[in-house]
Amino acid sequence: MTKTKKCNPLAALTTAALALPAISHLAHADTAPVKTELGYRYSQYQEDDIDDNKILIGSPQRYEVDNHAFRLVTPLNAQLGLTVDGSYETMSGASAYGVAADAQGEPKMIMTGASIDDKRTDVSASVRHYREAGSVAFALGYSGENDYTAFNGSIEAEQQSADRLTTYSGGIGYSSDELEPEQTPGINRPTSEDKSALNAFIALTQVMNAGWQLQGGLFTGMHDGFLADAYKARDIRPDQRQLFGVMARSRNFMPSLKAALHTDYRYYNDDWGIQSHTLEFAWHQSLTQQLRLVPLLRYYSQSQADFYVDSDSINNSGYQSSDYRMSPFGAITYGLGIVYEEAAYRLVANVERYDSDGDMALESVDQENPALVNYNLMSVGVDYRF
Amino acid sequence: MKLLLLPCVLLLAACSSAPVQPWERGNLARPDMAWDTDPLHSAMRDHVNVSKEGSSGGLNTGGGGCGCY
Repeated sequence: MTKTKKCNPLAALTTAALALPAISHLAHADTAPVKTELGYRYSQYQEDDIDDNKILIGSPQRYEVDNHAFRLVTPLNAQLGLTVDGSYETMSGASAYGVAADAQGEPKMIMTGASIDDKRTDVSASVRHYREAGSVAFALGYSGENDYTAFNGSIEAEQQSADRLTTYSGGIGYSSDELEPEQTPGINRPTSEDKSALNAFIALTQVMNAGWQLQGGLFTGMHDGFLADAYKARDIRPDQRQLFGVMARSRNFMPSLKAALHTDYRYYNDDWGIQSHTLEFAWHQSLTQQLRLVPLLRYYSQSQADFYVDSDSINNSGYQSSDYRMSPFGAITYGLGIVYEEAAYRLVANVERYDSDGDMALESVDQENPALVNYNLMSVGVDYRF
Repeated sequence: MKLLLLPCVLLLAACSSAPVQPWERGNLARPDMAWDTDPLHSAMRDHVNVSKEGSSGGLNTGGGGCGCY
């Protein structure tokens, strides 16, 4: 027997009204911010030391990063919203200088001493203009380190259909970067290089029903200039890179469970020969009206670049890189977040563990790169609305 | 290649959505239903992933900076 549930407009409108404080969380462009929101996050990133049996020379200690991030979202008037992001981070540890084969032919790491001590400052501002069923945003940004300076700008637009169930969006961004590597006596490094990146995307978002929405889209990028790692012993890469990707996302709320399932998938392909698949699930479980737990699971797998080499050698010619980021591998991220949310503020904490391995790749890997990274990422923060 | 079918299936499914009235969208407006529930944390995560993996990009215009951890 099927029961027909009558719709009570008053109850339904009340439900919608109760959800209004959440509107500021929507990264959508259909509603201008009505309140000012200030956010802060402290994040600590810590890579595991490399196993001694994977090192030929140098320190087993790897990167450690402390990051402070700030965000301001505020209305400028009824049609304009301003978002300002800033972050400051300190980085220390050792990095991989190269990979060399030992007497048995096994690739081993050549690490720098644990002497890296750098700082990065990142600032960006975005102004979004809201109009009937759509919006346009302009953004400018700056990022600076001791040896690196980048300026970027972008424009993004969104337009909703008449029934407000479908949203079309797209954007294009450009970044101009300049690198001035720090010099070490006895090591030949470039003194000044530059590169640029042009990225664009289009997307379609569809409300499927009262508890489910989907988003699908395409993205592309063209990178040009010095794209190698200046701090590696022998890293010679093409000076152009074109990438293409497909992304699909789903947000599904299950009232009976008081939970929302987030599913994200990305396919990536570039003309360096790298293909990757990224699949992520996050389960937002409400425990009370204010408190929710968010376990997440992310899987990543990539193939190697055409010019990837297991170890550096003067016998190699042409494009070559032993960088683990150019190698084939897979990785799994496990995470847990906790959110406590009141109308005026929100407290958040997250912990994540990232493990990478050649055996986790979708395709079999004959020789795993010894520099693959495992790390912990922890963050705590607060948002305040007024 | 099978994984490539996933976004296609999702996009095809989007062609058969049911009408949703404005007063029925309370759950869609929940904070746990946002595409990005925590932009500040996501920025840090994306920054780490871009610097540790060989691929990058998504449904955004990206930013700038080295991220050379």
